Amino acid sequence: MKTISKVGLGMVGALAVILTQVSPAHADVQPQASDVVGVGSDTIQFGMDFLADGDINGDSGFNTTSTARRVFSFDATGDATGGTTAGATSVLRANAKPITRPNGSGAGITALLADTGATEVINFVRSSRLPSPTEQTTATNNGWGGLHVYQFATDGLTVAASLTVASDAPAALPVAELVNIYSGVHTTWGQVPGYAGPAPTATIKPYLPQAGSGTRNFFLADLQAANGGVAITLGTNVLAMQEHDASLIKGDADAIGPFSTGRFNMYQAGYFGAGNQNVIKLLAATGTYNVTRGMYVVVRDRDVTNTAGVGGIPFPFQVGGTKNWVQTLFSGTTSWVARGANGPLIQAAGLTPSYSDLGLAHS
Amino acid sequence: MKIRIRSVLAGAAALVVAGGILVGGGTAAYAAVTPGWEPDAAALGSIAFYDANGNPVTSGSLATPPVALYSVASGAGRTGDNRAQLKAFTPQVGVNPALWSGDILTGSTVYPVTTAPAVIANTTNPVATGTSVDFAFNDYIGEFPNTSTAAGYQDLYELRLYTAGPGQGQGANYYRTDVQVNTAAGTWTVVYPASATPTATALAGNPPAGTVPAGTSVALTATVTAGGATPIPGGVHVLDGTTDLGAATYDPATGVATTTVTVTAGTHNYTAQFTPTDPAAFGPSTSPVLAYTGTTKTVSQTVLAATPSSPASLTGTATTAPATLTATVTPANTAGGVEFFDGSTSLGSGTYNAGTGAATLAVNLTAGTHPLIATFTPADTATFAGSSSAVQNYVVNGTNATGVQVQAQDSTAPYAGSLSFTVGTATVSLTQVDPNSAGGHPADARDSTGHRHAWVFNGNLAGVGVTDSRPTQPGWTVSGQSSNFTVPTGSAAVTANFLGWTPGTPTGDAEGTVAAGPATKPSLSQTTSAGLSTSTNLAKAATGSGLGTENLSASLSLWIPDTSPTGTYQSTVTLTLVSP
Repeated sequence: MKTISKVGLGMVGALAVILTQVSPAHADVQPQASDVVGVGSDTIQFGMDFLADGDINGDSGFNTTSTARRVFSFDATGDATGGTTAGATSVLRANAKPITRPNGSGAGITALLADTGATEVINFVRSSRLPSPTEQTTATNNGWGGLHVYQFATDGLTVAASLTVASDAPAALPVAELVNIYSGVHTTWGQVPGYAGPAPTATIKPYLPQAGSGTRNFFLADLQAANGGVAITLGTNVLAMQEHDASLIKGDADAIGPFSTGRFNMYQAGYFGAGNQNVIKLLAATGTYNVTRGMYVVVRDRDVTNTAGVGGIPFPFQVGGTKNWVQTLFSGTTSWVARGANGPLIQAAGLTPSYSDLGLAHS
Repeated sequence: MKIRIRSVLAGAAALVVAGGILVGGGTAAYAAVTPGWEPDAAALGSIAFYDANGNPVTSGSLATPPVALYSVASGAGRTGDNRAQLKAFTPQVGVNPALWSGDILTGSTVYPVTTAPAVIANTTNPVATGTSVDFAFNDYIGEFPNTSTAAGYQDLYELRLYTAGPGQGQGANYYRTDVQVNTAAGTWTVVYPASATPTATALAGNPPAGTVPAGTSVALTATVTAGGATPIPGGVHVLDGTTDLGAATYDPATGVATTTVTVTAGTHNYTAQFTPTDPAAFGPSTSPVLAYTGTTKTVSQTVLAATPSSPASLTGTATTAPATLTATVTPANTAGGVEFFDGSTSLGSGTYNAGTGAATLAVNLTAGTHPLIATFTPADTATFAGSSSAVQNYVVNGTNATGVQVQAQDSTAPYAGSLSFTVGTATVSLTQVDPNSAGGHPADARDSTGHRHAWVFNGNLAGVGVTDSRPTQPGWTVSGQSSNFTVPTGSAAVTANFLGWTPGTPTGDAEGTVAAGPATKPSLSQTTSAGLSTSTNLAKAATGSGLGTENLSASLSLWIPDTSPTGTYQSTVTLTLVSP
């Protein structure tokens, strides 16, 4: 170890003390003009919440460091545990009127495509499905160059059943059988081939996520594929649920529904309280419908390289920075969601970090 | 590793053409700066950085991630916190540090990090661990460059360690260390707070190191010193090899730590490891190994005595003094043999009586001090362990001499010395040589026809000093390189190769030879010369030279085309001191 003596001019710096004036209190927090606003998927909402603001373990989110230029990711519903809140509204940006929250991926993309004012309210959409060709066309017609998709994680989708009361469902439900159940061909458990459970005469209660949900579209697309490419006609027995909300399934022995493995992990970890641990189960037997799917962020393609502040978010996004907001948050391996250091934030939401720039992808 | 001290003469050759006279002006800026925002009111303390082996780190690469493998806070985390995260922030003049832009350099690390080297694993202070997929410093600079040229801000960044825990996010306060980046060299270096005081740890045992019966209880005493500074807050752990045996009882006021270990059968390499409470105030240190061997054999003991007792004296014309050495081996009735040594020189085997355990040897010793030792080697090495006596320093005085022992206790750590670099000259003023004289209007060497000429401006760079007090004399080199000149409107480019220099003979009291670098001509004087556009040797002290202070100088010469317009021609000369 060598010692270095340093010589030179003494430097004197003057530091001004700045007092930050706190804004008047609002009923709810409202993003300012320079904040980035996202809406959409219920499936992803906790992952993006944690990436923005940190998780319960103490891992810090983007807004922890970037206190002047923040990310607001509005949950799909007004309930912080992902429960349904029909008609809940929120103010997505200061000085705007309250609107009904876009509930789900499809609702989020629809809201983004309709957000064509000079000062844009919505900057990105959380989505558990890719945009459709029609949605890409609309975005192009809006002059945005299309919708740019970034995958930042993956999640599993399988079938949930009650655990609070013993479920009547069989140990395995393959996708072919789900086609029969959700199209109303099989309405009691005894009609399921090989059923050996306790309630063959009980009526199956198949739940499907709400309209506008990316999970709903994804699930129905898988049923269509298993049905020889023909879209199924939903049986009259099919019921509606808020996606990945266990409240309608946990106490009903005959209820089933598609469910996120990530959200299930959060239930089991106690994020929604000890009373919501071990209330549902995922059908785990071999052959059960169980797929891995991408978790996406969708932005206007013109924002990817936007250095002119078009749409209202200033450039550079952060004071003294060199990047725009998409580059800062979503684009490239050094963006916030892509960095390995932030993997624990995604994992805390039960998801698996997996970054990929998918460009102008569509389904 | 090379040490690079970089001194930039900002505008050192700021040249103004006024009636043919060039007047220079500018200020010097140096690596050693106190950041303008310090002391940072939100800072709880500082951060110490460590490499994979637990060695302290005060500089690193801009290009290689992570910025630091281990970042350790100088104090405790907030109550309830168990996670730490390293971030970088770009300072802004006149702006509250709480409002600066920044970004994370690591993920959140759960601390303590028990898998880290002991110096990190043993602290309960917050620790952030970097990985190869984290940001390199250049990634951060690309995102939030520091473009300030203000004194105390230029090229500086603040690294902060934040803590958080389950249910509570990061607070407004943090630990911090400020670094200066050198983008040319691709390095960052800690500049604030100043380096920690190094410590040294010694370890002794009672009974002394060596072979002892298995199960022996050994009292270990570790002594921590810091060049005379007290107290030395921290803790001492005793290790057996890499196994941490736990904390010793440590008194920061005295630097003494004590503990007891039981030596089991086999080899035990004990060390004492000091970990400072505030890594910014004191450095960590580890003692040399104290080796014990626990044996299940019967351990012999050998005691050496000499008659007459020391000191003896030569008598008459005798050149040696007779002495009888007696070694007593216990337990008695142990078969074997005794050999006597004067230092490493065998004096021979004595007559050994196993029944009494006594061995004697008559020797004749010359005047002087003789480190005598007796070694017993048992015949049955399966049952008995051999032993050596303690050293007896036996003194034989010359005729009519009286011995007076003089001894000194050296409690000061070895002097390491230091290397420093001074550039006392803020400005180099280049003066135009009379253009009416031949020397002021020479031919432009680039024009083979000899029709084009140059203006010549000369000046002296002085006040450059290197002070090297490192006893190891690794040598050093000072080199210089110029930037291209900024030129008045209408001028053709004046590149750095238009500037040349002739290093002066170094003066001073440095030991050995300090050689001046070669003369480097302006390219308009010699077309093959690169001038000062490339790094050019100003002076060099080879290995084994350079201890002391040496003053360096050079004559600078700028040649520009005589068609150049009047105005200011200005460049920056960067002087770099490099030492192995």
